Amino acid sequence: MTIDKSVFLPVDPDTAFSLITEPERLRRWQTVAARVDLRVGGDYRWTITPGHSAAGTFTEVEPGRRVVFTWGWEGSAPQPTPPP
Amino acid sequence: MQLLGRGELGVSELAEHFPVSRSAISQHLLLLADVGLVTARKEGRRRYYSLDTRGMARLRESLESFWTNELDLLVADAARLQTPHDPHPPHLQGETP
Repeated sequence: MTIDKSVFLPVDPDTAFSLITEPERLRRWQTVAARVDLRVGGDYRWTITPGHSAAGTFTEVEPGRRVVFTWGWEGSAPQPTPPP
Repeated sequence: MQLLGRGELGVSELAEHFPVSRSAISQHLLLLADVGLVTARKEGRRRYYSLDTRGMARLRESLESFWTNELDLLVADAARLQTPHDPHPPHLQGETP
């Protein structure tokens, strides 16, 4: 199952990038807490609501342009590895 | 579930694709049937599984609404950053303009 979503953020690319990658920025919209190791192969763990956390690994990081990561809810089956 | 997307399959055919035991696959399928994502059809002693289209539609809806909500919050936050005290967007990475 694939879901596509697009949104336009009325900010410059670096600001947009930090909104989706920096813990203190993520806290403003998606998470109550976040731990992020922003590099390819680095892990993140986002607490979305208390008791519900998502975790995964960054597979592509191009600052200001693009970020790709795996996603899995903690406590459920391990997240699928993305195709090479 | 991706395999079932292409059509009905038996437990053994499904199990071939995974490094875990056939009984682990069976148990997982029972769980998926329990939550309404797959349906089972019995033919003799064999069970065939297919996706439950209504359950899959519900799953898609809840994923859609989760991401719609989250992304709405992201857009609202980005719009707030853009607000008037300062005509220039804030620099978040500590560089001097």
